[in-house]
Amino acid sequence: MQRQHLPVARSFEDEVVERQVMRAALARLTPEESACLLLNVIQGFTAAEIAQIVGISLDACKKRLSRARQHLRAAYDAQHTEGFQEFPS
Amino acid sequence: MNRSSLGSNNLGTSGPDCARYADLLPLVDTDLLDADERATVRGHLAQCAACRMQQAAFAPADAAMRGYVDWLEVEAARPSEWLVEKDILRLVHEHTNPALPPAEPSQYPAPSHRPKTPKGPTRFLSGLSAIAALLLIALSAAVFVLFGYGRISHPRRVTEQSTCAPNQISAHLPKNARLIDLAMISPDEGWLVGNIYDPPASGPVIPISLILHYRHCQWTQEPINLPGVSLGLISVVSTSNVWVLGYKESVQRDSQGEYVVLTTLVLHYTGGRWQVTPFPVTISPNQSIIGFTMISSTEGWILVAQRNQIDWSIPYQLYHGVNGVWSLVSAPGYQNLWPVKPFAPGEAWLTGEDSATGLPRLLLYHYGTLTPMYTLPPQALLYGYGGYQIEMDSLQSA
Repeated sequence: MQRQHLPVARSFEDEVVERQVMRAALARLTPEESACLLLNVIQGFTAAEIAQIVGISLDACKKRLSRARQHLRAAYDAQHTEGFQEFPS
Repeated sequence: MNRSSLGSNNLGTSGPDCARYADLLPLVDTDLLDADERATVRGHLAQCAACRMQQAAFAPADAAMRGYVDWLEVEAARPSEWLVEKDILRLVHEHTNPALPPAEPSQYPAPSHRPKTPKGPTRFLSGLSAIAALLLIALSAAVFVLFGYGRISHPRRVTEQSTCAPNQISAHLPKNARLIDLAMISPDEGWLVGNIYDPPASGPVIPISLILHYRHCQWTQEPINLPGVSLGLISVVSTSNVWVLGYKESVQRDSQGEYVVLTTLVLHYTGGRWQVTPFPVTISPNQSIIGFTMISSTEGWILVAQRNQIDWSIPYQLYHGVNGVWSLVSAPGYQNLWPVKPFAPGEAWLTGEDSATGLPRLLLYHYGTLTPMYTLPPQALLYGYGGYQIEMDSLQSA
């Protein structure tokens, strides 16, 4: 038996679920939003570089990234509060 | 950047200046703002509790995204599957065809019992010995079939075709189900474990254990009732001998406040019903069970990972249990033992890394002794969770 003070350290299984939840949350973004977001968090491109790649202005790029992060947060929270929605039930 | 052009406030913040920062706020914890923008938003955050709350609300999703990206990078760093399979196939070829010269110089010890071709009378006597051996094997097989079958069972190799066409298979997954582990014992029978997370009217989500059994072309839910128990890994020995790992979570209080007690338990399906038994190995709070394989009712393997600052990577501890006694497998000189593929009582193939060089090794466990059999290419990873598996039951002669 394990005893630990709050918060609980996530188990290996929980981390697998977290990855599934994040993947499902990303799937809820528009392609434009997820493209800009993943170019930053995975590839490490700056806002100016992403704007150049996508072909939009720097202001529009930052606005899109801001919206993407808001939508991702909302989708991620929804996955947790409304239940996991990736697979049809 | 013209901040006034960044649109309306979608974050629900309410201060007089909040709308000006609504589009910058989600980016303040990233590297996407320039120094002036970040300083401006920080200045606002210092004065606005509502926006600070909104900023803090991004933290869980950000943490999950970091974990997701870390995992993607690990996935991307793996070699292509064909490379690993090619090396395994070469190893299998060399072990199962000892008369043939290996295609490339081998780095593992040659089998000591490699037969030599006899000549003359020795050849005749050897032929009689072979006939006697065949008769002995046939007799042993008959005895096994008559008396041993059913008491000793191992997972069957999946070589036959499924009898169910894809459009004949039905599955009724409960809503809010998350599936964790899958074990197929044949194309027509398998098990799925997971948990149901129904959102409650109030209070925390309490997981409900979920086990699905695949037979007769359909997945059906097993009648188990274990509220508060979340299930993890599954190990199937035979159609009537199934093991599942579970976690019971309960909140308790003491003088220092609330704390969570995690109790690891094992569900054992035998005799047509599920029984809950205690987990046989003591693990600490910063450890997690990432491997659980039973090969009979009395023998199994448990792999425990120790959490470090980043993930569950190192070091691993491997336990081998026989007749209720679980012992830590001593593996001096090796680390990251994973995965484990037992193929017979007391014997298993596993992969690991040489502690000194970090090179991946294929190891053979034989009744307490760990022997390095093969040094894999430096970039190779035999990684069980991601889908690479090794089936080494044809290598018992090694």
